[in-house]
Amino acid sequence: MSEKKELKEKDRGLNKNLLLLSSLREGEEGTVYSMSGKRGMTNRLAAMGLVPGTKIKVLRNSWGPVIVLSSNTRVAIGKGQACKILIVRDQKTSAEEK
Amino acid sequence: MKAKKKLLIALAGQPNVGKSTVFNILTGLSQHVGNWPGKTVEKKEGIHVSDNVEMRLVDLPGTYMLTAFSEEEKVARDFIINDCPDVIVLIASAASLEKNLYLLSELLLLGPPVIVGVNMLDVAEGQGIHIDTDALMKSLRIPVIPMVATKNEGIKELVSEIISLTNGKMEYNPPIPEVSEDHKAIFARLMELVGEHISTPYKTQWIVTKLMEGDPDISKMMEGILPLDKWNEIQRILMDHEDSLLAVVRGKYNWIKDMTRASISHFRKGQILMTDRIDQVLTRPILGIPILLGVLALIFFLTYKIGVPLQGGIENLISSFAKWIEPALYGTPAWISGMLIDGVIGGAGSVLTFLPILVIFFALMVFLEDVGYMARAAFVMDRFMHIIGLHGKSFLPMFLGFGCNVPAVLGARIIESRRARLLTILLIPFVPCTARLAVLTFVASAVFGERATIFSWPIVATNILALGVVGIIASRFFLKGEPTPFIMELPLYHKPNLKTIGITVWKRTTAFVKRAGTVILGFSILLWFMSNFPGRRIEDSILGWLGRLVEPLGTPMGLDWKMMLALLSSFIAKENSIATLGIVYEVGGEGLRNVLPGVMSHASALSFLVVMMLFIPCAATVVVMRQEMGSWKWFLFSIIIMLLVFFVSGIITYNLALFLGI
Repeated sequence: MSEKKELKEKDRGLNKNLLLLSSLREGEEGTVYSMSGKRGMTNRLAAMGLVPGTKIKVLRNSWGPVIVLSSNTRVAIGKGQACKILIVRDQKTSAEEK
Repeated sequence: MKAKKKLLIALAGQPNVGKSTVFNILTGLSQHVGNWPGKTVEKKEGIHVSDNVEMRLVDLPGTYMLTAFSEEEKVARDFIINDCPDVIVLIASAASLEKNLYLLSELLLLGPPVIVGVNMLDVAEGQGIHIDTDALMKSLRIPVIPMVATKNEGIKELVSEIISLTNGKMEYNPPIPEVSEDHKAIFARLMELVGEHISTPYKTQWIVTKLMEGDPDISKMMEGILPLDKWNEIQRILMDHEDSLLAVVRGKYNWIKDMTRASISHFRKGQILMTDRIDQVLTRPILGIPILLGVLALIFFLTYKIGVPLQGGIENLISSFAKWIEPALYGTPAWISGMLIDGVIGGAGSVLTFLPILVIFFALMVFLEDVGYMARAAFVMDRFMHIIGLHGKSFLPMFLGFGCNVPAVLGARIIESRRARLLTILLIPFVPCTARLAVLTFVASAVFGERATIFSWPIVATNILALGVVGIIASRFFLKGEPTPFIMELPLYHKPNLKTIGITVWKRTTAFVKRAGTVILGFSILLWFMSNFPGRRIEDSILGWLGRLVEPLGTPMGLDWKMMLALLSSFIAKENSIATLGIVYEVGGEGLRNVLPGVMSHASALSFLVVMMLFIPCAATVVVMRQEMGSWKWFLFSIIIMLLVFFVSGIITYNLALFLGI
């Protein structure tokens, strides 16, 4: 368990593309890495198509909830919950904006 | 003659898949809307007859999954487990099939045979997604019907498939999702532990899956059933494998991937959808908020422009009906004719005259809901709603409250957490409904003439302000707790479906008439008695006595006993206060509009209006509030808050108006 946590932190240090969903910019794409928070929420997000491994695209992230597109479903996620989801950002999209 | 075969069919589906369209086509107006026993969840059922088969269709609440985390999901799964329908029909959207099959993965574990209707194939094609339903049927090994419900396609096939499946002529043995590879051993061990203790209607595999998901209800149930040593071992296993929920979820998605591998193909990639284009505008805060305000203004404009003339027409009809029936009542005691004409016809009339405005308002709201705009409204309002301890979803019932508080309170059911639902219901009465706005418009224009608008807008703003202040205080001090996260699907925009809109408006209107109508009618008759006994003049009646009793409370707000009476009578129906003013000021033929300026000072009128807008809502709203809150404590709390707010605002308004010399 604690080993896993360490691993996660190491990952974050190594990979600057591992970001909170709430800090992705509009138009950026990525893959869900992990989700924390209450079980009910994890389950709900899973049923809406968001599980570790799903490809997502951020459609809106400004004033208010984040809108995420995954497998043709648009889901608005409150900022609080968006801070509990880790995303591996695609190199391609992050390179584009540079 | 052969006896009809009877079938029980459950209609399941995630939200936004066109499930209600299918339900409406199949059942039409045979629908019956009620409540699930003991729950504040709407239960819709109806009958469909075909070839000597009578199907009772139960429309399960639209849910993404079947956990115990929301009332609706519990209702859906309990129904399937306990009532054991002959067939479950799952309506899925072709445009997001994978996600929709998540619910299927839950349904298959429950036992009853499932038929999948893959709906909205046209929408999917438009987005470059092709679904091969035959291939899907081959991998799922259950019947799959291609459908476009909005064009009536696939409905017949669905019905005949239900019949042939229940005839037992078909082989039914679908592959069932398992947990991910790394957790198979644990799963097997758990199966062993609980196996012998599970009896019908439960299925062992389902119970174990739910235990691994951490389902609170099933965990509690198993704790009661299992011997202590077994339960302890289960707990230990689950503690050691905190990620077992993810193992279940991953297992389901692996299964979905397997099932859909051969059936989903994308033939046009990278196109920008109409929905995303519209959302570029509607969900951008700078544009979305003004657009929402514009939509609100347009709704009110249309409601009043079309509704008010209709309302006048109905009023005339009712008064001529009363005049027409009067001669027939000659010879009956005066109190009977009085009660019938003023109590019954008057009471029913106030419900009826209110209907055109309500129907138009409902129709516009349902239209916005149907095309997909309401989810965007909730999204845009989310930030503001956080100020009062709620999130975007609570905006939807509150919005409905501008039409009528009764359906608004009922509409609060869409909010998952009990805390947020209580708070929303607590705040809804502060949303000025059309009836209150009608009184405001009438009295303001009578007393203030051309300056009516200058006074009306601040009064409406006072209501919103009161809502905000009560919300801030209640969420910080009374209904504390972490707000549940805001998670909401933004459905694809689509063309409005007139049949769906029509049926929804019809259902909401009849529900309103049933609920509000009976309460208003009952109270109208009571009010008539109270104003006619023991003496015929209002001063000598129970009501007059009551008015003088509460007069001291009115004095600091600048209200005399007549205005206090009008306020009290607004409890029955808000527009009653106008009628009461007419009676107590004995206007006769002169018309209330001409009498009011002479008897109400500007300061008193202003105070009266503020107080009327903030007073306890009408009896019908109060009744549903009590029912939906499900708790006397919070119900009484909200009544006390409203009394406090109205009294304090009345005193402030009156003194401020005197001070400013209005």
